[in-house]
Amino acid sequence: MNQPEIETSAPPPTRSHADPDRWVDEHGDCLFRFALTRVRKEEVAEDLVQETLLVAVRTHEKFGGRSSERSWLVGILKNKVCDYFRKLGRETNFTDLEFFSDEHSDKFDGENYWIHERGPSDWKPEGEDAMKRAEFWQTIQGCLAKLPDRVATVFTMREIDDVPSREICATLNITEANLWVMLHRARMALRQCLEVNFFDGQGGARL
Amino acid sequence: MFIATHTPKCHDITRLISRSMDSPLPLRTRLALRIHYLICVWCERYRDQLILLRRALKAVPEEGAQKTRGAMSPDARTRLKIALQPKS
Repeated sequence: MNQPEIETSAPPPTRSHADPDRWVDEHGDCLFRFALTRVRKEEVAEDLVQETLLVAVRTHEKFGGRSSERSWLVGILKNKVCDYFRKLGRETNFTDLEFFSDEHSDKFDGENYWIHERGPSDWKPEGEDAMKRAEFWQTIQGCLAKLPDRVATVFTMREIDDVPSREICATLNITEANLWVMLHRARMALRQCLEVNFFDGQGGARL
Repeated sequence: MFIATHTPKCHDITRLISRSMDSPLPLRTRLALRIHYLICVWCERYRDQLILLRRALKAVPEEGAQKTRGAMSPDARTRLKIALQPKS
């Protein structure tokens, strides 16, 4: 019997045959969540998971158990998500006028200083304590969901996946100036959303 | 006020704060921000809150997803399994 050449020091692959059913059961939800956090649409996330597992079926022989099965699958999914964004960047021009026309101008006075009572409020509970609350995470998810699609794509790549600015620009075919405007607006909108819906909503005192 | 007239306005500061999170700012601009924080608690808060936001967002895939929405629907799961069946 000819064994395929595998590094002898590596642990032997525990399972050498493709087992898509088991992959769906064991890793499906995890992969789906990973995709959903990034692409936000359930149909798209489902498609990406399916494409990922189809690649896995085709290439599982090369995998050979070098890493855990899950990180192998997540690795494939990452590439799929990236391809999806690249396609999105080709098909759409990356602006969203409605989102950008509202520059929170009601928060600044005629000279562009904060109007004091409308400026950022003093957040209570403070960071660490806020992050222990389930409502905090629900609010963040809700706020992220309100971002326009393209802004959310850029923002997710930058903040959740920590992709460097240059790489985002190259993938989506946008300029750095355009990227900075989008990130600035996303952060401003998200901060505001979190303040209104979580911090002030808790009866946090405004200063 | 001398300082107020010699640092950028709050509106510009918010843009610079965001920018500093994506690329290094020139020393001069960093100093201008520092000086501005001395006189402006709102911009300082704004900065702290964006930093908190960034930390929270890094944790969203684990924390957020688990505590809020979770799994594929049973239908999706079935569709997936059918799509993956070997064609013979």
